[in-house]
Amino acid sequence: MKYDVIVIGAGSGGGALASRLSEDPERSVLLLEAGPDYPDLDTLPEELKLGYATGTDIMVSDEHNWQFIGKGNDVAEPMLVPRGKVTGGTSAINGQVFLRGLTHDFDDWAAMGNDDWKFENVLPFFRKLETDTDFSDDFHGTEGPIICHRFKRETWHPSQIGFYNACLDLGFPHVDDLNAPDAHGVGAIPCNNPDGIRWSTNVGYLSQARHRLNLTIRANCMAHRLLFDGKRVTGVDVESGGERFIAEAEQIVLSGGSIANPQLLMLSGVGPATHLQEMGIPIVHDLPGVGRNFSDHPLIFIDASVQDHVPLDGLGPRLQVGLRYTATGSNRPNDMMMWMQSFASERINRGGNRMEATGIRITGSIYLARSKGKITLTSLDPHVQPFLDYHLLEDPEDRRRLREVVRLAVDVFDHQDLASVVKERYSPTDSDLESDDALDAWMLREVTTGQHLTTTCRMGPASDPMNVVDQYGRVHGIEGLRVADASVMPDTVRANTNVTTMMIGERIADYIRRGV
Amino acid sequence: MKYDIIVVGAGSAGAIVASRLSEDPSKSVLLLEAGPDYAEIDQLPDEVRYGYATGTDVMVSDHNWQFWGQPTPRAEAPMMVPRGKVTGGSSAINGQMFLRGVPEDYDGWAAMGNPDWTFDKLMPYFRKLETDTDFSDDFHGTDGPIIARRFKQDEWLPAQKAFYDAAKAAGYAESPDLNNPDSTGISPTPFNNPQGIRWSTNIGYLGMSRHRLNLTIRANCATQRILFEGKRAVGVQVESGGETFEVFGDEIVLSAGAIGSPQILMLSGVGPAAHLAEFGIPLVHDLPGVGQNLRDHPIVWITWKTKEGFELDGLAPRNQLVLRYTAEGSDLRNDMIMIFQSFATERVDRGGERMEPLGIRAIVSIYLAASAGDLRLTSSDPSVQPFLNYNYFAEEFDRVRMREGIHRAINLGEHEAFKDIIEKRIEPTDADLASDDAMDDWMMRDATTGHHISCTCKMGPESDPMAVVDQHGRVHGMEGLRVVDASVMPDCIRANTNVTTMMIGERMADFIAGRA
Repeated sequence: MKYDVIVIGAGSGGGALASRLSEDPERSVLLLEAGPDYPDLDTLPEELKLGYATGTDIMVSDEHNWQFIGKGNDVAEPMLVPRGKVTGGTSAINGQVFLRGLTHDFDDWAAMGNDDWKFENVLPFFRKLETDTDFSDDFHGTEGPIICHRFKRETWHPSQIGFYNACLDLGFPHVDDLNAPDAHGVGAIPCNNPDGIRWSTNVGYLSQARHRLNLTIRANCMAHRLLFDGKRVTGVDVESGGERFIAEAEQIVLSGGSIANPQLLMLSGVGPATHLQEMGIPIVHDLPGVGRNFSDHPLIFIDASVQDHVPLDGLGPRLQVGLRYTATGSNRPNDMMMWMQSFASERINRGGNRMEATGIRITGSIYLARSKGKITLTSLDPHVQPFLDYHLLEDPEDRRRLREVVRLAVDVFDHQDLASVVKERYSPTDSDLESDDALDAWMLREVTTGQHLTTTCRMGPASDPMNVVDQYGRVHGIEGLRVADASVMPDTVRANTNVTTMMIGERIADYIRRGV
Repeated sequence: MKYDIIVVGAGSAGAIVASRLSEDPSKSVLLLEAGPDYAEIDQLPDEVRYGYATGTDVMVSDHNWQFWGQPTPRAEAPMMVPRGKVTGGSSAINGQMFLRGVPEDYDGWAAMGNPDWTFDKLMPYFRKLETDTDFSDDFHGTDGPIIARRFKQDEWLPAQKAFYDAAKAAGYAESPDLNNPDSTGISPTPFNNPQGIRWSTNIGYLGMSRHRLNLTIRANCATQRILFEGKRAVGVQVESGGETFEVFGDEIVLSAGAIGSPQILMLSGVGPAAHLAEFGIPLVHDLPGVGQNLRDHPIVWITWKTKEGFELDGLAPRNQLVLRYTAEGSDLRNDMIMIFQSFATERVDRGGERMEPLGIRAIVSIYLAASAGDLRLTSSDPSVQPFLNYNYFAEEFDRVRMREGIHRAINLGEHEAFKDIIEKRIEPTDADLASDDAMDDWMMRDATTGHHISCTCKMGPESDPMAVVDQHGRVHGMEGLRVVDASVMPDCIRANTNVTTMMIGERMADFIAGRA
């Protein structure tokens, strides 16, 4: 049997895309997901269902998290790289920050040869995917599948209030709606967790589509290889229940995420020729950009202990307020972000536990880093993860900007508005802060992933050999094959990547439905 | 998209057809089930999972269609007719008696113009479907999906032991293996409930095939009608999630049971022309036999109050032994069955409750009745059940045999083996037993279904105008359409119908695959 479309990966991009494609009842869609499927809220395990009010740590969930390991840089210890392995994908395990990319981001994408992605063109899809319960205006949706809200000021933890006031006092503006175009300043973070439920693409999109007879959702199905007839993709070789099956289709859409997409492409013979030769993989098509331009938001933790009277509730929301600003001297507006965490714990791989508080934390992050990494195969076995070589903070401009945010966070912790909350800032130490070199050394050790992996199948015209797909998601040089998720971003966005990835799913579904 | 085969109904036969046909990875199979699906034993609700050790009554469960039927013209109220509405169908809600018909049953089918259904030709399929953990010989399977066993003598409850002793004293034979072709008399019942788990076709068959990418199982999908192009079936119209979908297949297999299969045929325009005209259903093909020849095993209950202090355990197995015998003067071997229930309750529709005992009970049943009833539409709405006219005891031969059976049961109950158990008989009363007429009157009022509705789409040659399908299940006069379930039995069998229905699934799967 041949489907019209096979979508590989039921995540933030694929879940939205498959749902939209199956709105046309004459189109048959097979949605493959490597992890399990939970068809309704009642059957969702707690760690997926509850955005924050659960003691179960998604970082160590064998069933729902790929638990990749990445190399941050030559100094940092291997870092945990969580990615969702369940219907909903990473939208089913993430932090639920529902923040759009900036107008600049999309206009930059357009300038990179993707003119259809300028902000005014993508805005309808941002609106289509959301129901914002706080704002309804030209920029917001009121009937989309994903529900977005912001924590009201009366629910803010004392640390969030202190953070907010300190930022104002340090001269940053107040912002009501961080999803308004080019919004910056300090304010409540938009979150897709109404009533504490993580509103994944499974909950939002698949639930309204899964009854459709023309949509077949197959969980626990791992794609091994794409099958080609010449340069036309014809199907996929899938592992299910320990057996291998071939599923065929007119079109295949890769929505496996920024790690699995380049991995599957390379295992199938589409990727950098020299690397494929090295691995002994027969070349179907030489595409040097596959796995390159690997981007993320490098993240650093500034930690403090709290006064005895400050409540630390591991089941309360940990993120409520954030600051978006432009680094001093940066030519990329609003390239930096700082969040307050009301409950901080040590990293799992350093012996921490989600429910054991160390105090509170400010996370500082570069949201448009210059350093790029790469993803390469280490094995022909699809079960073996590729090498995730991040190159975090390689570029001096990234180190400069990250030093600034660390010092800003230190200033916030030292601010009088947090004096009744903070007992002592203990990381970085004063000696780590003594000089740029000392701070760089500390940052290179401590920097970790913002969990926003993108750009490993970069979108752009074929004239640039490092581009993998055209602006409609079609893989250059291959027929019948598209990529639709965060991996196609021409560069990362100055926002948490989840909403933008959903938008990409919506947008590419629309291209397919319109025959583009 | 077009499937190779669409199977309507994931019950005792349909789940097997779908499992077996999907063994060929090049065949795409869509299995539609009106009820829910439970992929694993752990997820099964108690009343589906446990064969007896549950207080939840499947008679009033969501997993039961809860049909109503008319037993006899004299019955004062309709009777409850349970049928499974869940993957596994009635094999997921039944009494788990795993009893084969006698060879004469199948040889009788063959003699009715179905030469491929002699007992000898069916034996490989009875073997193929089972793993009998007690017997391995020429008549038994050792690696089939359905596990059969018998209660060992030391597990028999006191009422079962008394039943055995009384029957032995009355001269009945004994057959350790009641699935042996020559068996008769009092012996342990073969049950498909290892460790108390009801081993349905969902557990046994779908459990080993549901991972296959070429098998698509869609639950909560109610098939409304078959779609035709001329006299060729091309697809089905299905309700799912409140919407209506059309799905297409090269071949449609109806396995919706002896109620659902003829109902769907008639709603689709295949059935008795005059009857369809009454409901304004456009005629596709006049087949007068659809819904006719309704067969069942009529049963009556002889109920005794037990002595003070005699333990009645509602969670223990309620029957463990069965008596197969031939009625006085009958030339139909083993045409009668009697079992004793160690825990008897009032009917739910008469105010009874599964866990509230009345005492113990003998169930007497005609296992090859002469009387036949019929099934008729009452509405063109697929969600309205057809009228089920069972027409028990229309033939004097049936009344004679049932009266005799009642006396046999009462005699056994009066044997000294029961002297510490039975206090007094509750029903029938002495007045009910006073004359043949009084008995007939009581039987006609109190008889109920043996839950073995069958024969409503009779298999037979085209020369028989009342035959609905040929011996390979193909609907006469139609193309691309088969019926595969208990409805194709030309006559009922002298056994509980579940194993034979499974056998029909196995046998027909081979016909469909061109393997037989």
